[in-house]
Amino acid sequence: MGLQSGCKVFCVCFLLFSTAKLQAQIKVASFSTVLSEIAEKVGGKNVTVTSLIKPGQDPHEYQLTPGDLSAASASDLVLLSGKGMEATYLVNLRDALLKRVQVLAVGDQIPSLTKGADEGKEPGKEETEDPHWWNSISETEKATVVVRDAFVHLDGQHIADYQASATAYLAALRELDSWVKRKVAELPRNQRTLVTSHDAFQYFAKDYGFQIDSIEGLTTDQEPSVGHVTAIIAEIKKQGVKAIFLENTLNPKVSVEITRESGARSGGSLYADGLGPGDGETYAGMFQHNVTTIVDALK
Amino acid sequence: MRGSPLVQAGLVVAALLLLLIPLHRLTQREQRPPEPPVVSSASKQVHLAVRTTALPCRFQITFLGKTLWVEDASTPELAKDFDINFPKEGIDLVVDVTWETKALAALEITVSLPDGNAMNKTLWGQGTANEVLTFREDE
Ligand SMILES: [Zn+2]
Repeated sequence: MGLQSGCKVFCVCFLLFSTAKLQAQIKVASFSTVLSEIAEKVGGKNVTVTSLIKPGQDPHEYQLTPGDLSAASASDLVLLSGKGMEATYLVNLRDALLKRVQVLAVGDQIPSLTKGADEGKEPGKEETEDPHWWNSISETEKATVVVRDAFVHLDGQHIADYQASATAYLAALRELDSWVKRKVAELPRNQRTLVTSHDAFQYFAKDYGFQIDSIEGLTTDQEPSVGHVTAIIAEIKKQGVKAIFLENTLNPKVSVEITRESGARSGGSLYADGLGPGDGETYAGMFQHNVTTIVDALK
Repeated sequence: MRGSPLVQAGLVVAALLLLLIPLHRLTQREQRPPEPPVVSSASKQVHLAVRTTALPCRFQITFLGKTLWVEDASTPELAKDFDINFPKEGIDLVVDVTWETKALAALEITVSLPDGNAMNKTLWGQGTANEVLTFREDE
């Protein structure tokens, strides 16, 4: 190989390396369907997102698989819901990931609602953070800013792209919030009692003036006590609540007992734990589905 | 040995008795009259006063999904009475306003109840403003 050929090979290698560098994308592994959407919207073409929790999957019941761990290890950034949602596998996940992989628990960067021992069904238990921040659009706006800043920190070459995409997504969220406020305004303020299976809508309630009566706790695996079910039935009757929103994670006997004894009808199904199939495959679709279902059933 | 016919008959009777319990519960509920809800639906005469800083101004006030008041205002102050339910949790009024001027303008809405309690809220905008305003006696 002569000097000229050697130069050619060097140039080709240099060009290939430079192109690869220019096209390098941040690899994101997301443990939240909502964060997957935020990462895709804010990251655009500069980011590839692998959603380890799929739409419709119960994040409370999720268990870390070897395949998901490999996907997380191959990423640059792991996005977590935070606020205790990943408590059962967080230590294993952090231990198994390489040092270069950054882990960002987005929910931990934004304010929390908590459930105190006196409000819960397990006296003596400490205050628990409510992990369902995505059911508040204003919290989702804060999460968007957290994700944007993480991308800016990881990839200084595309700061303007991340800022522009985040601004556009934030504007869409504010438009969604205006729509929600107008839709909720169709429902008298004294009819805003939301009876749900598990306690996933406290952030929503805070934003739009609802009172929540949940049958289960903050997760989908807590069986309600007989006393709590009796109290919920009494409250439904007292408030004249027309409809209640139960999930299939609730013990069917409890569902039947509550609808039979309270006289309230089933208001339909809600997307409580993030995006889902059908209407709920986008954040806006999920929120519009929930609000329309709630308002139309309680009117 | 499967037990005596007497024991078998006893078991059948016991099973039938057990079946009667859910049947009784079902029929019991049908006999129970539904309890009336505690939520009051009494309506009050509510006085609405609107004041705009710029004219001409067109506004629309929507209450519970229905148009309550639409006006092409030619004077800065207008008022009307409405019979509406005003629960202790308050009411939401959806307000849409447009001004001809593109300069900053404001629309103030005052809600007065028969007991003399009055609440007011203001919208600001340049050419247009849209907002859901909540009026509560305890705010
Ligand atoms: Zn949940």
